[in-house]
Amino acid sequence: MPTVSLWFIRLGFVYLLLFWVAELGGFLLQHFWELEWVWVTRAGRFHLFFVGWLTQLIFGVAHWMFPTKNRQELRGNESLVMASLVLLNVGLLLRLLAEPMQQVYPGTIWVLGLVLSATLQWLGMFLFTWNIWGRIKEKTKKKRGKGT
Amino acid sequence: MPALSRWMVRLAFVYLLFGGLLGGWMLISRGFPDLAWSWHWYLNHVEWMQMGWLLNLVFGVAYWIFPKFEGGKRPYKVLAYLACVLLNTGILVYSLQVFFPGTGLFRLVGRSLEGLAMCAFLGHLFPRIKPFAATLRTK
Repeated sequence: MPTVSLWFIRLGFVYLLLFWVAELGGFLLQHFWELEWVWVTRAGRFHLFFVGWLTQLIFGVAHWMFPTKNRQELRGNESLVMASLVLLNVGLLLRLLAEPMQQVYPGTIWVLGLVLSATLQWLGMFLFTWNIWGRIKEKTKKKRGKGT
Repeated sequence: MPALSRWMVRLAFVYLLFGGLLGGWMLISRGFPDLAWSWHWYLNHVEWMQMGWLLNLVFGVAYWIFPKFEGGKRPYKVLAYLACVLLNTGILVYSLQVFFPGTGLFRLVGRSLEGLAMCAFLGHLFPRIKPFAATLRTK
């Protein structure tokens, strides 16, 4: 398994656990301690699952399993994929912080955080798509010549 | 990767990028009250990410990967192609709801088409849920 796939999948499982903890914590805080502000974390918690777990798992496995690009660059530009991993995760973590803070304590710094988070996450998705696009193809047929 | 899979996986990534763009725009709008109108597109964001990205990808990869029949054949191919057409038509019809907010008609029709797509794909895939070694005679 390529290193970057390893990291996508490991981080995916970490986010899965984080989602579970966050959901349980959110439920307890909201229903037993009746802390109303918990609702502002709802979107972020959902994206822990959808982006952090699901999308990263897909990215990791797709990067590993999809048909190879060519003999020189088996899986395309690995640096691009590593960059997409970093951008996606930094963007997601920034969202988890900036989104609830902007709603509870509105301010320029959190607005900047939201803009940065959205930009980083989308760039991460775009770089991954850019790299994998050329691998969405028919399996490369080996050429057989005379005497081979 | 067969042609249908290539198309569905490519569509999935296109939906990912456009759905992500919508989502990013809505996230940014949390900091700019003047952009609150972007939340009208919330249902489309969810639709493009769930049905467009996830379902197209799952269908595309499943069509490619699942065990085949004797001779490397995939049975009832027409159902799989039909599923692709129905699913993506359903997503596009559903997406029109943003221009007609007062009515649920586009959501109803879109969801119905997607439901039919799921049935069609299941019809194609179910016989392929088998051990690799097991064979099934096709008519």
